[in-house]
Parts: sequence; structure tokens; C-alpha cells
Amino acid sequence: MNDLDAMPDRVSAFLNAQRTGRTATVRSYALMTGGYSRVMARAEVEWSDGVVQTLVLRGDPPPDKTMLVTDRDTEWAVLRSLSSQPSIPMPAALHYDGTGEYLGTKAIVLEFCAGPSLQAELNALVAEGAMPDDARFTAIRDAFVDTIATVPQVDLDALPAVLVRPADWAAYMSTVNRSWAENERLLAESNPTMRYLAAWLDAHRPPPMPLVLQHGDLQPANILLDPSDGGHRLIDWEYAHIGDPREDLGWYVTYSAAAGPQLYGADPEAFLARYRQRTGTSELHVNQATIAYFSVVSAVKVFSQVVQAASAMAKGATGGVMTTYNLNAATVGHMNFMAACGALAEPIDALRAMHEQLVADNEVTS
Amino acid sequence: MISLPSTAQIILDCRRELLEVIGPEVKSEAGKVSVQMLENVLRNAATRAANEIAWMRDETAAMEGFARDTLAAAPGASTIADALTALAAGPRESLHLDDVARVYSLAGEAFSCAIEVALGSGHEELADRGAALLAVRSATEVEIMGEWGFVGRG
Repeated sequence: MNDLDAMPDRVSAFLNAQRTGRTATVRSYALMTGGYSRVMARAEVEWSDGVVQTLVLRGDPPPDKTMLVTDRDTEWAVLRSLSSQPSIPMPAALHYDGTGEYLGTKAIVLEFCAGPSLQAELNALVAEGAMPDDARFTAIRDAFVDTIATVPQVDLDALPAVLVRPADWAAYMSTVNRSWAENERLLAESNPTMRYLAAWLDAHRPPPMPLVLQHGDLQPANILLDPSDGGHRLIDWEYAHIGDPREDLGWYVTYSAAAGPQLYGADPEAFLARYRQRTGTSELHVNQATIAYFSVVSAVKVFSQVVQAASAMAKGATGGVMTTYNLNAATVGHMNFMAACGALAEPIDALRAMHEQLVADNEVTS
Repeated sequence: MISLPSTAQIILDCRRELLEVIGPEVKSEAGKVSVQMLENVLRNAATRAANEIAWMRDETAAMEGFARDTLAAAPGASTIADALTALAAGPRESLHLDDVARVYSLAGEAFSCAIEVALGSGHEELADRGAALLAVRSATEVEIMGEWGFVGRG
């Protein structure tokens, strides 16, 4: 996908093999910036009926440049399934080169959404010196919350079989928490912080919730404004999975600590009140303590891949400035995770006790 | 060998060349993002080069001490005992960077085993002490990181 000379013809050939009833000619092709994990490109296509369309190609980087490993087959299955659910606002997933025969790597072709992203809107406000109490920050926060609140409401039965269905919440949490230690054992060097987190998270579980769809990388950069209707579109579903509904919120808290301005941190109670109202969840389950807990839980997948990429580099298996640059994300993670654990033991244990009392009183199910 | 300018100074001079000479010639957006990342990585590498051997050796001693104290409190903890045995067999006297890093990793494994025992057994004093050692490790990482933010996102 990085061969700018060859790709226009390759994309044309691929589109023409999709039997759309029209012939495609790619007029321009350019790589896109903005994503860290996949190679992204934008193609301007002229169809034989005169329609001009912009498409986005999303493929795997070369193996020696891969930092974050996810599966395009799974992502395509999820995108196709979500495309059929009107409750999820996202660019349509159109085509898939599942072998790389045409596009040189497994690549998904999506409808283009012009944006800007919510992150770009935030950056613009910061650049103009807007104060944190500016109403435009609040409007972006509300758009962010309203968009992410659609994700856990997806019907799980409509999702593809390739997504793992955990047996129950307790089993799921055991697996996720244990993965901190399991991923650590794959590294080129020991990482005591990861081992600490595995043990600590398991010893301090919050009240359980029903498992739902999670996006896996919810952040303002992954929500685009669609100028055609003023709505917002969720992109980058490569980490989608079935899990605890607080993971996406927790991941955003982790992410925004390194890439502000913080839509959550500016007023957590207002953020969570809107989220609870949009999703019908309770304050016992969705509150600042549980979100902080899941800010640690939800980070394991991306965090582990960042440090595993560094380990692969240490073994001579991969390279690229992105790998070493992102080690700073691991530093931010270590710092924030430990701070969260230090502050959370007491409130999380209190919430758990409250939940267990309610179960004993038959006011909630276990 | 020629020791001055130091490795850190050499790296920082490469960074200056990157920013002042190469960076302005880069026109593509992807290239500009790479330059920003390289600037950051070179700054991190300079800090590491100047301090990493001393930092790792200091932390190794603290982690080993914690593991020994935890083993004393939980004498049956074979994971800690095994990890300490492996640490003892490591190239502890060498100051070559690869050897220091190897011993640091072995000490980290012993420390990790000790943390698991402390948290698993509800030994609050040891658990708190382990967390305090991790805070020291984190402070070192933050010093290496310096100023940092995601580039190229939006």
C-alpha cells in the first residue's frame, strides 16, 4: 500500500473485481496520517457512470514495521456486522481484499468521512486559546459521550461468531487481569509493574456488569464529523470485543491523560451522568472509581503490544521510530496505572461490598 | 577510547542537526511526523545513555532486597527462591550494558514474584513497599521521557 506509483492501478483492478456493475478508475492515491497501527490511504475514484467517490483503504503495515498486531479478517467481520446496525454511526465498510492479492496486504475499503475528528476540533479550540469552561468544549464532550454510548447497546447476537463470547463476567475478568502477567512473560525483559497490576486488579474487583460490545480504542481522534449530515462516525474498530461496558470509558481516561484536552477529566461527574443517562446504567456500577479501575484493565491489550514491539526490536525482529517513540506511552501508562491502584483499593472494595449487600438483599442479581 | 563528547552529547547534537537542517527540508506530512518522533526518541536516548547503568544497578539492589525480605516473610515461596537463584547466577560484576540489563531483568523477575506473594497473601506492609519501589522505577522512566505528547494524531 506504500507504493504510490503502483497503487492507483492496483486499487482500480481490485474495485473492478468486486462486480459493482461499474468500472472504476483511481484518479489519485495518497497515504493518510493520523493512525498509528495501520497503513491508511485515500483514493479518489471515478466510476464509469460519472460518480466520483473518495474511499479509504486500511491495511496492515509490512511485518517488520508492525507495532500493533490485530486481525483484519476479524475487523472486517465486525465492520460488516455493524454496518447493518443503524444504531451504530460509522462509515460504511464496502470491500475487503482478504488475501492481499490486489492491494499487497489484507486491506479493508471504507467509505470516506471528511471529518474533522473531535480531536481536531479540540486541537483547534486549544490553538485559539479557548478556556476549559468554553461551551464548545462541553458540546464536544456531549457529542463524544453520545457517540460512545451507542456501542454497548449493540445486540450481541448480531455480532460475528469470530468475536469471543466469555462465559460470564467473573471468567472474563480473570482472563483479562491474568493477561497482564501473561503478556509480561513474553517480553525480552521483566516488567514488575505489569505483574503487580495482574495481582492487584484481581484482588480488588468492582461490582460486575453484563458483558457488551466494546470498541476498544475510543478516543476523540476516532470520531469523525460527517459534514453531509452533521452526525458523528466511529472509526477504527480493530480492537472491538465483548467485554465489560466500563472498559471503553476507562481506556479513554488512560488515553486522554497523554493526549488532551481531557473531556472526562474536566468534569468527570457531568461526563458520567450523561453516559449513565444515555445507557441506563447505575451510579453503583459507573462511577469515578470503577472507571479508574477499568482505565487500568482496558489498557492491557494496547500497552502489551507497545512493550512487545519494543521486545521484538530488542531481538532484532522489527524496527521503526514508532516503536521507540511509543515507549513513552508505556511510561505514561506505568505512572497512571500505579497512581490509580494507590487511590482505588478502598473505594473499589467499598463498592463491591455494597453490591454484595444488595445481592444478599435480593435488590440486584449477582 | 575518546569519551568526550559524551554519548549523550553526540545524540543531542544529532537531534539538533535533525531539527535545524533536515527537518525544514521535509515536506510530506508523514515525514514531518517522523521527524517529530525522531526528535523525541533522540532526546530520550541521550538521557538514558548518560544514566542508565547507574539507575539499573541502584534499582537492582533495591529489588533484590525486597525479594529477600519477602522470602523471609514467606519462606515457602519457591517462585521467589528460584528467581533469586537465577539472579545470583547472572553476570553481576560486569558493567557492560548488556550484562547490567540482564541482571536488572533477573532482579525484576525476583521482585515480581515477591510482589505476587505479597499481594496474594494480603501482606499490606510488603505490598506497600513493593508499590513504593515501582514508584521509583516510574520516576526514572518519567525523567527519561521528559516532555512528551502524541504527535500526528488528529
